[in-house]
Amino acid sequence: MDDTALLEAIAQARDTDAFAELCRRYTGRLCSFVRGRGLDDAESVVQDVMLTIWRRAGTFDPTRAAPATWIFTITRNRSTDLLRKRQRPTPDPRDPAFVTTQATTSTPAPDKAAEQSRQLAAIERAMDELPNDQRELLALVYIQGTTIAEAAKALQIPLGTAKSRIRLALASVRTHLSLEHSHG
Amino acid sequence: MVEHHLPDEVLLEYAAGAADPGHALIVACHLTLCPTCRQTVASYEALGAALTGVSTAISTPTANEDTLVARIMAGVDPTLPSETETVELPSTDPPASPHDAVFPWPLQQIIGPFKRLAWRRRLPGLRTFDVAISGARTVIRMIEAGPGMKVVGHGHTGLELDLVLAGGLEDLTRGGEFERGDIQRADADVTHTLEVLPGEPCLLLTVNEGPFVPDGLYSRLVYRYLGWS
Repeated sequence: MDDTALLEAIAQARDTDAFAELCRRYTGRLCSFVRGRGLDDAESVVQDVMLTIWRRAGTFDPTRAAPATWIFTITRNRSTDLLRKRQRPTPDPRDPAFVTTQATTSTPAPDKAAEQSRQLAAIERAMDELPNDQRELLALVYIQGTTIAEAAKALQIPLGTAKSRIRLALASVRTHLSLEHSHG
Repeated sequence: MVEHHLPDEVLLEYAAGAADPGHALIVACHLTLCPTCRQTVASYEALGAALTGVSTAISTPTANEDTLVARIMAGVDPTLPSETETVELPSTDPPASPHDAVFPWPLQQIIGPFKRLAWRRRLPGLRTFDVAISGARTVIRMIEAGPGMKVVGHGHTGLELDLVLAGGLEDLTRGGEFERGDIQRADADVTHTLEVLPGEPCLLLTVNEGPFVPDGLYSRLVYRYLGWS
């Protein structure tokens, strides 16, 4: 049974065997991911994430994103919330200094959610087309939580080369997204 | 064309939670003032989710995987129907209560409001405040310089990022003016002179990866006195 079928069984039949299988497939990777982002209580975070997936499996839409992307998005959001509280400063929309634009305040929530799903799917396709050296570098930064300088050292490449690869990768993803947007 | 935003790689490190604390601070302050970069960071966060979701390079097993699965299963209520509506989770943080709108809130959380900052006077028209953040490898400093003052010729030993919070700044070497919310940035290969625009003092949050490299004798004397080289 593939991941999509497991999620459908969880959502529709509340199949605990399917959920246990999904847990076995993902908990190790999710723990590595959470630890790589600097959170030491990874197992608690992953437990919380998997129970969220149990509750919200019905919101998964296979036409929008792959199961792994959906699961990692939930994990990423949860980790980011915790990182925000613990270390990473973030802008606050309630700050009197906060600058808004019409575009960021007028989008209705349902459209925003759909747009985010579309964007995720488009990013996934863009990532598939990246050369391995660029993906490898992005993976070090995102998954291991290293800075670009540390990643360059680990890969034994000059910092300038690492920065160039990052810029190329981001430009490529952006181009892909804008092309999809103009055709969508 | 002169850039007024943060470099992609700094935004990426911030989105991935990997940025130096000094960089994270200047990013958070710039994002408060720049909807364009906020959108970019949101897309980089989504990119990270996609990357980690499809990556096969993250298969480090956790030692107690079976125990963890058992713990998760113990929390499952099979009678609970699956939610079908996407729910926006409310923020659990209390509302922010900044004292003024000069410093963005992420900065006020560290050094307090602008009016209460314990500035150190360094030269006529120039006052500074060194910001200490645990774990930062960057040099983080507040600078307020009077109209017409120059940041005399200097090179860099790493990336220089300046966020303008009041007044204006001009790069006399490369051209370009910077106002509130703009980022002035220079890499290690840039040597330049900056000047505060006429009118009001220029207030800056500066984050440097290393000390300045003075350009000329006068510059060497000034930066040695200030302790910036």
